Amino acid sequence: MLVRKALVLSAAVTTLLAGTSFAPAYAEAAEPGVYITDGDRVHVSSTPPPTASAHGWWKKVSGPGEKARVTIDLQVKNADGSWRTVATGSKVVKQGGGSARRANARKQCVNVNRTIHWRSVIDVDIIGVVDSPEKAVTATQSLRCAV
Amino acid sequence: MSDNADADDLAPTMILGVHGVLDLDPWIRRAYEDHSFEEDMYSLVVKRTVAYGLSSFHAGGPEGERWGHNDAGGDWTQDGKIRQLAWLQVAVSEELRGQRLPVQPAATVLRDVLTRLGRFRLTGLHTLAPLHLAPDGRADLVDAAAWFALADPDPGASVDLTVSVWATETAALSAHASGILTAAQERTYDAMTIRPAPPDSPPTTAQDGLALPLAGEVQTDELRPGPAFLCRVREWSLDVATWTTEIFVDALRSTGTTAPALITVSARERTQQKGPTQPTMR
Repeated sequence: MLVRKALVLSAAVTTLLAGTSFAPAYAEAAEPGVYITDGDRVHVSSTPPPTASAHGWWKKVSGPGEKARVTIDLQVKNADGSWRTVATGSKVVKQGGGSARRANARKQCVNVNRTIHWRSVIDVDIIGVVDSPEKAVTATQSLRCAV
Repeated sequence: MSDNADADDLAPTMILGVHGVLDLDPWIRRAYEDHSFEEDMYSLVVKRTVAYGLSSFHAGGPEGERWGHNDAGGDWTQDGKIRQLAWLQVAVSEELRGQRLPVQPAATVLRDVLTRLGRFRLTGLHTLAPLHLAPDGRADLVDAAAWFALADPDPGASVDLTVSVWATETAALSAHASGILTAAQERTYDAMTIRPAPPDSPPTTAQDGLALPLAGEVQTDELRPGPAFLCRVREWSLDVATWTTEIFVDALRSTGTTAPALITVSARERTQQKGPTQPTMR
Protein backbone atom coordinates (compact mmCIF):
# COMPACT_ATOMS: atom_id res chain seq x y z
CA MET A 1 0.00 0.00 0.00
CA LEU A 2 1.23 3.42 -0.79
CA VAL A 3 1.33 6.41 1.42
CA ARG A 4 -2.20 6.21 2.73
CA LYS A 5 -1.78 8.99 5.16
CA ALA A 6 -0.63 11.44 2.74
CA LEU A 7 0.98 14.37 3.85
CA VAL A 8 3.20 16.48 5.77
CA LEU A 9 5.10 19.09 6.15
CA SER A 10 8.04 21.06 6.61
CA ALA A 11 11.29 20.53 8.25
CA ALA A 12 11.38 19.73 11.86
CA VAL A 13 8.10 18.08 11.99
CA THR A 14 8.57 15.12 9.79
CA THR A 15 10.84 13.53 12.31
CA LEU A 16 8.65 14.45 15.19
CA LEU A 17 5.58 12.94 13.66
CA ALA A 18 7.36 9.75 12.92
CA GLY A 19 7.55 9.12 16.64
CA THR A 20 4.92 7.45 18.70
CA SER A 21 3.24 10.60 19.84
CA PHE A 22 2.44 13.91 18.30
CA ALA A 23 2.60 15.60 21.69
CA PRO A 24 6.36 16.10 21.88
CA ALA A 25 6.19 18.23 18.79
CA TYR A 26 4.65 21.00 20.78
CA ALA A 27 7.35 20.94 23.41
CA GLU A 28 10.17 21.09 20.94
CA ALA A 29 8.66 23.15 18.23
CA ALA A 30 9.22 26.68 19.41
CA GLU A 31 12.26 27.34 17.27
CA PRO A 32 11.82 25.37 14.08
CA GLY A 33 8.10 25.85 13.79
CA VAL A 34 5.55 23.20 13.05
CA TYR A 35 3.60 23.45 9.84
CA ILE A 36 1.18 20.92 8.49
CA THR A 37 0.47 20.30 4.86
CA ASP A 38 -3.08 19.13 4.27
CA GLY A 39 -4.74 17.82 1.16
CA ASP A 40 -7.64 15.79 -0.11
CA ARG A 41 -7.57 12.74 -2.34
CA VAL A 42 -7.46 13.27 -6.06
CA HIS A 43 -11.00 12.78 -7.29
CA VAL A 44 -13.21 13.26 -10.29
CA SER A 45 -15.19 16.45 -9.85
CA SER A 46 -18.91 16.12 -9.27
CA THR A 47 -19.85 18.64 -11.95
CA PRO A 48 -19.24 18.21 -15.66
CA PRO A 49 -17.03 18.02 -17.53
CA PRO A 50 -15.33 15.15 -15.71
CA THR A 51 -12.16 16.60 -14.28
CA ALA A 52 -9.51 15.25 -11.94
CA SER A 53 -9.11 17.65 -9.07
CA ALA A 54 -7.29 18.00 -5.78
CA HIS A 55 -6.82 20.66 -3.14
CA GLY A 56 -3.96 21.52 -0.83
CA TRP A 57 -3.57 23.91 2.08
CA TRP A 58 -1.46 24.41 5.17
CA LYS A 59 -1.86 24.89 8.89
CA LYS A 60 0.49 26.47 11.36
CA VAL A 61 0.83 24.73 14.68
CA SER A 62 3.61 27.05 15.84
CA GLY A 63 6.37 29.23 14.52
CA PRO A 64 6.76 32.28 12.30
CA GLY A 65 5.20 32.94 8.92
CA GLU A 66 1.82 34.27 7.91
CA LYS A 67 1.53 33.19 4.30
CA ALA A 68 2.79 30.36 2.17
CA ARG A 69 2.85 29.45 -1.46
CA VAL A 70 1.01 26.18 -1.77
CA THR A 71 1.80 24.32 -4.97
CA ILE A 72 -0.09 21.20 -5.89
CA ASP A 73 0.85 18.84 -8.71
CA LEU A 74 -1.63 16.36 -10.12
CA GLN A 75 0.22 13.24 -11.18
CA VAL A 76 -0.68 10.12 -13.14
CA LYS A 77 1.22 6.86 -13.05
CA ASN A 78 3.09 5.85 -16.16
CA ALA A 79 3.24 2.32 -17.49
CA ASP A 80 6.81 2.04 -16.19
CA GLY A 81 5.69 2.90 -12.67
CA SER A 82 7.00 6.45 -12.64
CA TRP A 83 4.78 9.44 -12.03
CA ARG A 84 4.10 12.28 -14.42
CA THR A 85 2.72 15.70 -13.53
CA VAL A 86 -0.22 16.63 -15.74
CA ALA A 87 -1.44 19.78 -14.01
CA THR A 88 -0.20 22.21 -11.42
CA GLY A 89 -1.96 24.76 -9.25
CA SER A 90 -0.32 27.32 -7.02
CA LYS A 91 -1.56 30.01 -4.70
CA VAL A 92 -0.23 32.22 -1.92
CA VAL A 93 -2.53 31.74 1.03
CA LYS A 94 -2.81 32.22 4.76
CA GLN A 95 -3.01 29.10 6.86
CA GLY A 96 -6.23 27.32 7.69
CA GLY A 97 -7.88 25.91 4.59
CA GLY A 98 -10.77 28.36 4.35
CA SER A 99 -12.48 29.35 1.16
CA ALA A 100 -9.66 31.53 -0.16
CA ARG A 101 -6.93 29.56 1.51
CA ARG A 102 -6.61 26.50 -0.69
CA ALA A 103 -4.67 25.75 -3.83
CA ASN A 104 -6.37 23.63 -6.45
CA ALA A 105 -5.11 21.71 -9.48
CA ARG A 106 -7.42 20.37 -12.15
CA LYS A 107 -7.08 18.33 -15.32
CA GLN A 108 -10.00 17.52 -17.56
CA CYS A 109 -10.47 13.82 -18.28
CA VAL A 110 -10.03 12.73 -21.87
CA ASN A 111 -11.37 9.21 -21.45
CA VAL A 112 -13.71 8.30 -18.60
CA ASN A 113 -13.90 4.65 -19.62
CA ARG A 114 -10.31 3.97 -18.71
CA THR A 115 -9.09 3.70 -15.12
CA ILE A 116 -5.67 5.02 -14.17
CA HIS A 117 -3.77 5.86 -11.00
CA TRP A 118 -3.65 9.40 -9.64
CA ARG A 119 -2.02 11.17 -6.74
CA SER A 120 -1.14 14.71 -5.77
CA VAL A 121 2.10 16.18 -4.51
CA ILE A 122 1.83 19.27 -2.36
CA ASP A 123 4.61 21.69 -1.57
CA VAL A 124 4.20 24.41 1.02
CA ASP A 125 6.77 27.18 0.98
CA ILE A 126 6.36 29.40 4.02
CA ILE A 127 7.11 32.91 2.86
CA GLY A 128 9.99 34.48 4.73
CA VAL A 129 10.79 31.28 6.58
CA VAL A 130 13.45 28.75 5.74
CA ASP A 131 11.60 25.49 5.64
CA SER A 132 12.42 22.02 4.49
CA PRO A 133 11.96 20.79 0.93
CA GLU A 134 9.78 17.80 1.75
CA LYS A 135 6.59 17.48 -0.20
CA ALA A 136 3.42 15.74 0.83
CA VAL A 137 2.21 12.89 -1.34
CA THR A 138 -1.43 11.90 -1.15
CA ALA A 139 -2.77 8.38 -1.32
CA THR A 140 -2.97 6.87 -4.78
CA GLN A 141 -6.48 6.75 -6.21
CA SER A 142 -7.79 4.72 -9.14
CA LEU A 143 -10.06 6.96 -11.16
CA ARG A 144 -11.99 6.57 -14.37
CA CYS A 145 -10.22 9.54 -15.85
CA ALA A 146 -7.47 9.02 -18.37
CA VAL A 147 -5.60 11.98 -19.77
CA MET B 1 1.46 6.25 -21.62
CA SER B 2 -0.42 5.97 -18.36
CA ASP B 3 -0.56 2.79 -16.35
CA ASN B 4 -3.93 1.07 -16.59
CA ALA B 5 -5.42 0.50 -13.18
CA ASP B 6 -7.66 -2.42 -12.33
CA ALA B 7 -11.25 -1.24 -12.68
CA ASP B 8 -12.03 -3.22 -9.52
CA ASP B 9 -9.75 -0.86 -7.62
CA LEU B 10 -11.80 2.15 -8.59
CA ALA B 11 -12.03 4.61 -5.71
CA PRO B 12 -15.44 3.92 -4.15
CA THR B 13 -17.12 7.30 -4.29
CA MET B 14 -19.91 8.23 -1.92
CA ILE B 15 -21.75 11.52 -2.26
CA LEU B 16 -24.36 12.92 0.10
CA GLY B 17 -26.41 16.05 -0.44
CA VAL B 18 -28.70 17.74 2.07
CA HIS B 19 -31.53 19.82 0.65
CA GLY B 20 -33.75 22.37 2.29
CA VAL B 21 -33.94 25.97 3.34
CA LEU B 22 -31.20 27.56 5.41
CA ASP B 23 -31.45 30.68 7.51
CA LEU B 24 -27.95 31.79 8.28
CA ASP B 25 -27.37 33.31 11.69
CA PRO B 26 -27.51 37.09 11.25
CA TRP B 27 -23.83 37.69 11.87
CA ILE B 28 -22.83 34.93 9.48
CA ARG B 29 -25.24 36.21 6.87
CA ARG B 30 -23.71 39.67 7.08
CA ALA B 31 -20.20 38.28 6.76
CA TYR B 32 -21.27 35.92 3.96
CA GLU B 33 -22.91 38.69 1.98
CA ASP B 34 -20.03 41.14 2.32
CA HIS B 35 -17.59 38.32 1.45
CA SER B 36 -15.69 38.56 4.72
CA PHE B 37 -16.71 35.07 5.84
CA GLU B 38 -13.56 33.03 5.35
CA GLU B 39 -14.96 29.58 5.85
CA ASP B 40 -17.00 27.62 3.33
CA MET B 41 -18.71 24.26 3.26
CA TYR B 42 -15.50 22.57 2.21
CA SER B 43 -13.40 23.91 5.06
CA LEU B 44 -16.11 23.36 7.65
CA VAL B 45 -16.70 19.80 6.48
CA VAL B 46 -12.96 19.19 6.83
CA LYS B 47 -12.98 20.53 10.38
CA ARG B 48 -15.97 18.44 11.40
CA THR B 49 -14.61 15.33 9.73
CA VAL B 50 -11.43 15.73 11.73
CA ALA B 51 -13.39 16.37 14.93
CA TYR B 52 -15.03 12.96 14.64
CA GLY B 53 -11.82 11.24 13.60
CA LEU B 54 -13.45 10.07 10.39
CA SER B 55 -10.59 10.95 8.12
CA SER B 56 -7.17 12.54 8.11
CA PHE B 57 -5.70 15.16 5.86
CA HIS B 58 -2.06 14.84 6.81
CA ALA B 59 0.49 12.32 7.95
CA GLY B 60 0.38 11.41 11.60
CA GLY B 61 -3.40 11.27 11.61
CA PRO B 62 -5.44 8.36 12.90
CA GLU B 63 -5.24 4.91 11.37
CA GLY B 64 -8.40 3.26 10.11
CA GLU B 65 -10.20 6.24 8.68
CA ARG B 66 -13.72 5.85 7.34
CA TRP B 67 -13.09 7.78 4.17
CA GLY B 68 -10.71 9.89 2.17
CA HIS B 69 -12.10 13.35 1.65
CA ASN B 70 -12.72 14.49 -1.93
CA ASP B 71 -14.80 17.61 -2.01
CA ALA B 72 -17.67 19.49 -0.40
CA GLY B 73 -19.89 22.42 -1.19
CA GLY B 74 -23.28 23.94 -0.67
CA ASP B 75 -25.67 26.64 -1.79
CA TRP B 76 -26.42 29.12 0.98
CA THR B 77 -28.46 31.55 -1.10
CA GLN B 78 -30.81 33.32 1.31
CA ASP B 79 -34.00 33.44 -0.72
CA GLY B 80 -36.23 31.00 1.13
CA LYS B 81 -36.13 28.51 -1.74
CA ILE B 82 -35.12 24.87 -1.47
CA ARG B 83 -31.40 24.64 -2.09
CA GLN B 84 -28.77 21.94 -2.00
CA LEU B 85 -27.44 23.29 1.27
CA ALA B 86 -24.54 20.94 1.87
CA TRP B 87 -22.89 18.09 0.06
CA LEU B 88 -19.75 16.08 0.37
CA GLN B 89 -17.90 13.62 -1.78
CA VAL B 90 -15.62 11.00 -0.27
CA ALA B 91 -13.78 7.83 -1.20
CA VAL B 92 -15.03 5.22 1.25
CA SER B 93 -12.30 3.25 2.97
CA GLU B 94 -12.06 -0.31 1.77
CA GLU B 95 -9.87 -1.36 4.66
CA LEU B 96 -12.61 -1.50 7.28
CA ARG B 97 -14.45 -4.59 6.15
CA GLY B 98 -17.86 -5.13 7.65
CA GLN B 99 -18.52 -1.47 8.35
CA ARG B 100 -21.76 -0.18 6.89
CA LEU B 101 -21.39 2.58 4.36
CA PRO B 102 -20.73 5.73 6.39
CA VAL B 103 -24.00 7.41 5.44
CA GLN B 104 -24.87 8.35 9.02
CA PRO B 105 -21.42 9.79 9.84
CA ALA B 106 -21.42 11.81 6.62
CA ALA B 107 -24.90 13.15 7.28
CA THR B 108 -23.88 14.04 10.81
CA VAL B 109 -20.92 16.04 9.52
CA LEU B 110 -23.19 17.96 7.14
CA ARG B 111 -25.81 18.57 9.81
CA ASP B 112 -23.18 19.82 12.23
CA VAL B 113 -21.97 22.34 9.69
CA LEU B 114 -25.46 23.54 8.83
CA THR B 115 -26.48 23.95 12.44
CA ARG B 116 -23.24 25.82 13.10
CA LEU B 117 -24.26 28.26 10.40
CA GLY B 118 -27.87 28.77 11.37
CA ARG B 119 -31.18 26.96 11.21
CA PHE B 120 -32.32 24.77 8.38
CA ARG B 121 -35.52 23.10 7.31
CA LEU B 122 -34.77 19.75 5.72
CA THR B 123 -36.63 18.77 2.58
CA GLY B 124 -34.50 16.00 1.13
CA LEU B 125 -31.35 13.92 1.09
CA HIS B 126 -29.62 12.23 -1.80
CA THR B 127 -26.93 9.61 -1.57
CA LEU B 128 -24.71 8.03 -4.16
CA ALA B 129 -23.79 4.75 -2.49
CA PRO B 130 -20.97 2.40 -3.56
CA LEU B 131 -23.06 -0.67 -2.94
CA HIS B 132 -20.29 -3.15 -3.58
CA LEU B 133 -18.88 -2.16 -0.18
CA ALA B 134 -22.17 -2.51 1.67
CA PRO B 135 -22.26 -5.45 4.10
CA ASP B 136 -25.42 -7.12 5.35
CA GLY B 137 -26.92 -4.34 7.45
CA ARG B 138 -29.93 -6.12 8.89
CA ALA B 139 -28.62 -6.53 12.42
CA ASP B 140 -27.80 -2.83 12.70
CA LEU B 141 -31.13 -1.86 11.18
CA VAL B 142 -32.89 -3.68 14.03
CA ASP B 143 -31.27 -1.22 16.42
CA ALA B 144 -32.07 1.68 14.13
CA ALA B 145 -35.73 0.72 14.06
CA ALA B 146 -35.85 0.56 17.84
CA TRP B 147 -34.23 3.99 18.00
CA PHE B 148 -36.73 5.61 15.65
CA ALA B 149 -39.66 3.83 17.26
CA LEU B 150 -39.11 6.28 20.13
CA ALA B 151 -41.31 8.86 18.49
CA ASP B 152 -44.74 10.33 18.99
CA PRO B 153 -47.20 7.55 18.07
CA ASP B 154 -49.89 10.11 17.19
CA PRO B 155 -50.69 9.44 13.51
CA GLY B 156 -51.19 13.15 13.05
CA ALA B 157 -47.50 13.69 13.60
CA SER B 158 -46.44 11.30 10.87
CA VAL B 159 -44.72 12.40 7.68
CA ASP B 160 -44.82 10.97 4.19
CA LEU B 161 -41.58 10.56 2.31
CA THR B 162 -40.82 9.75 -1.28
CA VAL B 163 -37.87 7.51 -2.01
CA SER B 164 -36.42 6.88 -5.42
CA VAL B 165 -33.64 4.51 -6.37
CA TRP B 166 -31.41 4.85 -9.41
CA ALA B 167 -28.77 2.53 -10.80
CA THR B 168 -27.18 1.54 -14.06
CA GLU B 169 -29.35 -0.01 -16.72
CA THR B 170 -27.73 -3.38 -16.15
CA ALA B 171 -28.93 -3.38 -12.55
CA ALA B 172 -32.48 -3.69 -13.93
CA LEU B 173 -34.01 -2.10 -10.86
CA SER B 174 -37.50 -2.03 -12.28
CA ALA B 175 -37.42 -5.78 -12.72
CA HIS B 176 -36.50 -6.09 -9.06
CA ALA B 177 -39.03 -3.56 -7.78
CA SER B 178 -41.10 -6.11 -5.95
CA GLY B 179 -38.09 -7.66 -4.28
CA ILE B 180 -36.70 -4.26 -3.30
CA LEU B 181 -40.04 -3.32 -1.76
CA THR B 182 -40.25 -6.54 0.23
CA ALA B 183 -36.66 -6.29 1.41
CA ALA B 184 -37.12 -2.66 2.44
CA GLN B 185 -40.31 -3.46 4.32
CA GLU B 186 -38.56 -6.25 6.19
CA ARG B 187 -35.81 -3.86 7.25
CA THR B 188 -38.15 -1.33 8.85
CA TYR B 189 -39.12 -3.73 11.64
CA ASP B 190 -42.50 -2.03 11.76
CA ALA B 191 -41.07 1.42 12.54
CA MET B 192 -41.96 2.72 9.07
CA THR B 193 -44.48 1.79 6.39
CA ILE B 194 -43.42 1.51 2.77
CA ARG B 195 -45.55 1.07 -0.31
CA PRO B 196 -44.91 1.51 -4.02
CA ALA B 197 -45.34 4.94 -5.51
CA PRO B 198 -48.14 5.16 -8.08
CA PRO B 199 -46.83 3.61 -11.28
CA ASP B 200 -47.78 6.62 -13.35
CA SER B 201 -45.81 9.06 -11.25
CA PRO B 202 -42.88 10.41 -13.22
CA PRO B 203 -39.41 10.08 -11.75
CA THR B 204 -39.34 13.81 -11.12
CA THR B 205 -42.08 13.37 -8.54
CA ALA B 206 -39.52 11.70 -6.36
CA GLN B 207 -37.37 14.79 -6.61
CA ASP B 208 -39.75 17.14 -4.85
CA GLY B 209 -37.77 18.60 -2.02
CA LEU B 210 -34.50 18.24 -3.90
CA ALA B 211 -32.65 21.07 -5.59
CA LEU B 212 -31.40 20.00 -8.98
CA PRO B 213 -28.86 19.23 -10.25
CA LEU B 214 -27.87 16.85 -7.50
CA ALA B 215 -24.22 16.89 -6.52
CA GLY B 216 -22.61 14.04 -8.40
CA GLU B 217 -23.79 14.79 -11.92
CA VAL B 218 -20.69 13.17 -13.34
CA GLN B 219 -20.86 10.10 -11.11
CA THR B 220 -24.60 9.56 -11.67
CA ASP B 221 -24.62 10.26 -15.37
CA GLU B 222 -25.11 6.63 -16.28
CA LEU B 223 -27.75 5.94 -13.66
CA ARG B 224 -31.36 5.49 -14.64
CA PRO B 225 -34.44 5.80 -12.43
CA GLY B 226 -35.78 2.65 -10.89
CA PRO B 227 -38.90 2.31 -8.79
CA ALA B 228 -40.10 4.91 -6.32
CA PHE B 229 -41.68 4.30 -2.94
CA LEU B 230 -43.83 6.13 -0.45
CA CYS B 231 -42.79 5.84 3.16
CA ARG B 232 -44.63 6.97 6.26
CA VAL B 233 -42.53 7.79 9.30
CA ARG B 234 -43.34 9.25 12.69
CA GLU B 235 -40.98 12.18 12.41
CA TRP B 236 -38.84 13.96 9.89
CA SER B 237 -35.21 14.72 10.48
CA LEU B 238 -31.89 14.21 8.81
CA ASP B 239 -31.42 11.11 10.96
CA VAL B 240 -34.70 9.71 9.65
CA ALA B 241 -33.69 10.49 6.09
CA THR B 242 -30.40 8.72 6.73
CA TRP B 243 -32.10 5.70 8.27
CA THR B 244 -34.45 5.51 5.30
CA THR B 245 -31.48 5.66 2.97
CA GLU B 246 -29.76 2.84 4.84
CA ILE B 247 -32.88 0.69 4.62
CA PHE B 248 -32.81 1.03 0.85
CA VAL B 249 -29.06 0.55 0.65
CA ASP B 250 -29.54 -2.83 2.28
CA ALA B 251 -32.63 -3.63 0.26
CA LEU B 252 -30.74 -2.96 -2.96
CA ARG B 253 -27.74 -4.94 -1.75
CA SER B 254 -29.88 -7.91 -0.83
CA THR B 255 -31.60 -7.92 -4.20
CA GLY B 256 -28.36 -8.04 -6.12
CA THR B 257 -27.35 -4.47 -6.89
CA THR B 258 -23.61 -4.18 -6.57
CA ALA B 259 -22.97 -1.12 -8.69
CA PRO B 260 -23.21 2.45 -7.42
CA ALA B 261 -26.79 3.48 -6.75
CA LEU B 262 -28.46 6.79 -6.11
CA ILE B 263 -31.08 6.96 -3.38
CA THR B 264 -33.18 10.07 -2.88
CA VAL B 265 -35.38 10.72 0.13
CA SER B 266 -37.64 13.72 0.24
CA ALA B 267 -40.58 14.89 2.28
CA ARG B 268 -43.95 15.31 0.66
CA GLU B 269 -47.16 16.64 2.07
CA ARG B 270 -49.88 14.27 3.15
CA THR B 271 -53.05 14.92 1.26
CA GLN B 272 -55.22 14.85 4.36
CA GLN B 273 -52.93 16.88 6.50
CA LYS B 274 -52.52 20.62 6.67
CA GLY B 275 -48.83 20.34 6.24
CA PRO B 276 -45.90 18.08 6.87
CA THR B 277 -44.14 18.10 10.15
CA GLN B 278 -40.85 19.60 9.25
CA PRO B 279 -39.22 21.08 12.31
CA THR B 280 -36.53 23.62 11.84
CA MET B 281 -33.24 22.12 12.90
CA ARG B 282 -30.87 23.85 15.17
